[in-house]
Amino acid sequence: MGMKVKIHPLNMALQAQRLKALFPNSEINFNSQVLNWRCVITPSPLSREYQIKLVLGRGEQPNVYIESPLLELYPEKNSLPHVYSTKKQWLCLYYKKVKQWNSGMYLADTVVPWISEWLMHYELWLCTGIWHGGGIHDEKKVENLKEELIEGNKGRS
Amino acid sequence: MLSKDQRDQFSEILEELGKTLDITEKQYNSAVQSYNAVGSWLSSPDSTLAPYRPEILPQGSFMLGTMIRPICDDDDLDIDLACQLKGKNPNWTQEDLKNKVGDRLKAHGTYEDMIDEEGRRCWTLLYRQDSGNTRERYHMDILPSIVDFGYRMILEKAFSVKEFEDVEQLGIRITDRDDDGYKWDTNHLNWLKSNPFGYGRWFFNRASLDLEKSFSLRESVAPVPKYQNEKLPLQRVVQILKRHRDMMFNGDENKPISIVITTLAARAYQKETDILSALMNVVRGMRSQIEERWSSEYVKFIKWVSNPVNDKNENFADRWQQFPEREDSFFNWLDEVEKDVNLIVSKRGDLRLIKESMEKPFGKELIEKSFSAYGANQLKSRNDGLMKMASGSGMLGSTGITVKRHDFHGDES
Repeated sequence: MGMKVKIHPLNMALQAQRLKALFPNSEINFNSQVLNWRCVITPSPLSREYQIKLVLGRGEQPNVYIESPLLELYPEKNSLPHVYSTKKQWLCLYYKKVKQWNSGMYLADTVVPWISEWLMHYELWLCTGIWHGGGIHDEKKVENLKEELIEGNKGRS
Repeated sequence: MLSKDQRDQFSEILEELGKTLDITEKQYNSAVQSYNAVGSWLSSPDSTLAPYRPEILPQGSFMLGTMIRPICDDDDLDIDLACQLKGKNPNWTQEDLKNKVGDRLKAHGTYEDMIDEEGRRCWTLLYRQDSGNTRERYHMDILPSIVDFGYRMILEKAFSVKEFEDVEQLGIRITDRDDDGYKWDTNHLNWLKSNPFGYGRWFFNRASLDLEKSFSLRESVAPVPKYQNEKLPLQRVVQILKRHRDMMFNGDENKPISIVITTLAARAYQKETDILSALMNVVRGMRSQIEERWSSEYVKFIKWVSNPVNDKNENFADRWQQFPEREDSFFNWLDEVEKDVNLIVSKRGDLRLIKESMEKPFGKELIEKSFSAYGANQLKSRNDGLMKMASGSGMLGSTGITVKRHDFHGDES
């Protein structure tokens, strides 16, 4: 599928340095295998504050959780939009299949702004019951997309 | 205290509220088309009015750009129109002019059925037209009137200069069934003077943030005004205030009238450039724009909201003497708006609570639409590469790191 771009992974120290530079008050600890970052984010001037936890394992995709507060649901909805788990408040921020984030990118410049954006759209979802942040949420569509890709590859071989 | 960022965000939300209150461009264009058809009928060659080149011009909120949709989508839109003659038969009295316009309307098969009971100064068409999937429902108030002289030329001039001096000359003469000379006075220079276009001039002067541009006034008084997508803060504030009034007084005949709200708001407005500051200052300042003037008729001081283009003679609140409950309604309303605006502002720090505090004063459905539009704007701003995140707080806005494109995903894969 497409061109292969060589990625130069950033090590944990570089990721940590950049996070600390942009968020001096955040808590951070890391070793060569794993990075943990905790930070308070206010996604928009009129928003509330959220305690975030981000975990990055070496060679893995980052996982992002809202530690507090307990996120409310829009009336008659039983799950949060764009999460892996409502219970864990574990966010789906980007489309992993197409590598919208890779280890050559700074978390602070990509994933963290997406957290703010998720939170703001979560608040608007709580206001309207509708997710306005865009994204891929129709799993059928994703499945179709996957099949198309497979079909396309078959055709090519 | 609100930070500038908070004020700006509030203003963006209020802007969406204003846009949601706007009638659609399609509705607007149909309305223009409909009243132009009325104009053509009045001025067509076989009309007795034809020699006096009658013209239908929008006035009131349609001209000021402060029109709002009714609470219930099926309700009529109110459109105030002036039917303006460039002259008249020298023998015509006010009554004659009124009847000539009325008779001509009645001579049209369709309009005849739409014409409502004769008003004191106006003819009203309960305009109904259904075609395909558009339903047109208007309450068209048509004000028969005659210009003093050389009107067009003056209009052109008045809107091209910055000075306000020619406003007097924009006056028109109207008929009034309660006027002493209604049935006999043929000299129109003695008739009651009204100045809806002078008022428009004054309003846009108050609203304008850049006098050099002399914002859109020329377009607004044209027979076929252009739909305005972008509005000035004062126009938005007036729309928001009128919506609050509609919600509070739905159907109550003692509700504060639009011209009083619009005039006081325009006087209290201090050219604030963001909608929230404008709204807060206007609401705080409206009360002190009401004067007390001695009335020899009532032999006491009475509340006075003067017409800015007819300051000495016209009190927009003149009905308050006859109906004291209207004065009470007005002040109750003002108290309520102030309370509601303060409550909304106090909810900063939680968008959801802000939204909830706006539901009662403006309507749940309208507010949800406004927040949806706000959300859609945010997505667009990120897709356009305009959304940034500030360091330290992670706050989204116009400063910091550009938020890169991505797609929120719904499943781990």
